[in-house]
Amino acid sequence: MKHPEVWDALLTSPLPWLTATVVAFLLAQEFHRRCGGHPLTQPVAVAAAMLVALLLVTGIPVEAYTQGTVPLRFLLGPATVALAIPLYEQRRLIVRTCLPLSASLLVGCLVAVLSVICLARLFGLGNTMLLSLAPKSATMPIAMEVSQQAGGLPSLTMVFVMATGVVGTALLGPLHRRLPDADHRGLGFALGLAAHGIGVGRAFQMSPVAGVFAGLAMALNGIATAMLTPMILTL
Amino acid sequence: MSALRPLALLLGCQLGGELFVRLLAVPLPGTVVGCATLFAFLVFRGRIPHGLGTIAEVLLRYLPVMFVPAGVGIMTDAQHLRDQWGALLVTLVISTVITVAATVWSFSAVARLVSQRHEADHEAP
Repeated sequence: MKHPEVWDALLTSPLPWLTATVVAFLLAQEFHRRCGGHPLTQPVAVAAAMLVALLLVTGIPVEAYTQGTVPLRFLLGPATVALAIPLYEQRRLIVRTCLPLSASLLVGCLVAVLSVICLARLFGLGNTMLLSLAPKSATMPIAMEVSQQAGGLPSLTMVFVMATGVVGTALLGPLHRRLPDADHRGLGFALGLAAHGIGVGRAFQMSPVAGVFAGLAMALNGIATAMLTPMILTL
Repeated sequence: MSALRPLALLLGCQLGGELFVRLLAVPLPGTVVGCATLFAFLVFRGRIPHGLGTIAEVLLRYLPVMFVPAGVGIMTDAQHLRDQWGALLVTLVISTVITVAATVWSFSAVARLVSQRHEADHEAP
C-alpha cells in the first residue's frame, strides 16, 4: 500500500466509515425492495453483514469502525427525544381511550419483560443474556440503552429486538384469523407494543387505525419498559 | 436559521435528561427523560414549534441507518449467540406470543367495560 500516512489519517477519521455505512444501507434497501420486502432481508441486518464482510476482507479491526461511527450512533439520542412529537400529535386519542390504553400498556409491558426473564431462567441462559433480552419489545434506541444500563450487551439486545419484531409481525396473520372481528385498535396496540417499529409498519398495512395505535404503543411501551425493567430486575 | 431552534430544543431536552438521571442516579435512559420533558413542553406550549416536526420526521425516518453500527458490533459478541440460539429463539417466540395475546385481551376487555358503562350512563333516565 502506498502513502501509509494518508491511509492512517483517513481510517482513523469518521469519514470513510460514515460513507461506507450510508452506502451499505442504500444497497441493502435496494436489495430489500427487490426481494419484495421479505422480513428476513431487513436492510439493517444486510447492511451490517456487508460492512462486517468489508472489515474481514480488509483486516481492519472492528474498533476502527466502532470509533468512526460515533457521530451516527449519537443521533439515536435526539431521535429518541423526537418520539415525543408523534405522541403529542395523538394526545386527543390518548385522552379518549385512556383506560384501555393504560391497562393494556401496563399488562403488555409487564408480560413482555417478565415472560422473557422467566423463560431465560428456565432455559438456563446466562445473566448477560437475560439482561440483554429483558427490553426486547421496546423500540431499538430505548431497548439498547436500557440493556446497557442494566449490564447487558446492546449489540445482543439489537438482535433480540429485531427477531422479536419479525416474530411479532408473523403472528398477526394467525391472530387475525382467530379473532376476525377483533378491535383493530387493540390489535394495532398489541403489535406496536410487542414488535415496536416493525410491528407498526405491519399494522399500517392492516388499517390506518391499527397503524396509529401501533405507533402509540411503540412510543408508550418504550417509556414504560425503561421505567419498569430496572424495577423488575431488582426483584 | 429557524432549523437551529428545534435542534437546540431536542439537544437541550436530551442534555437535561442526561443531567437529571446522572445527578440523581435514576436508573432510566437520559433520552427517555428527555422525551418526557419535550412532551411536557409541547403540552405546555399547546402547539408544535415551527420546524420541529420536520427535524423529528427526518430523525425517525432514518432511525434504521443509526442501528447499523450496533449490527456490526454483533461481530464481537456473536460467540454468545452461537451455542444458545435454539433456546433464545424459543424464548423470544413464546414471550412474544404471550405478550401480544395479553395486550389484545386486556385492551378489548377494558374497552368493552368502558363502552358498557358508557351505554349504561346514557340509558339512565
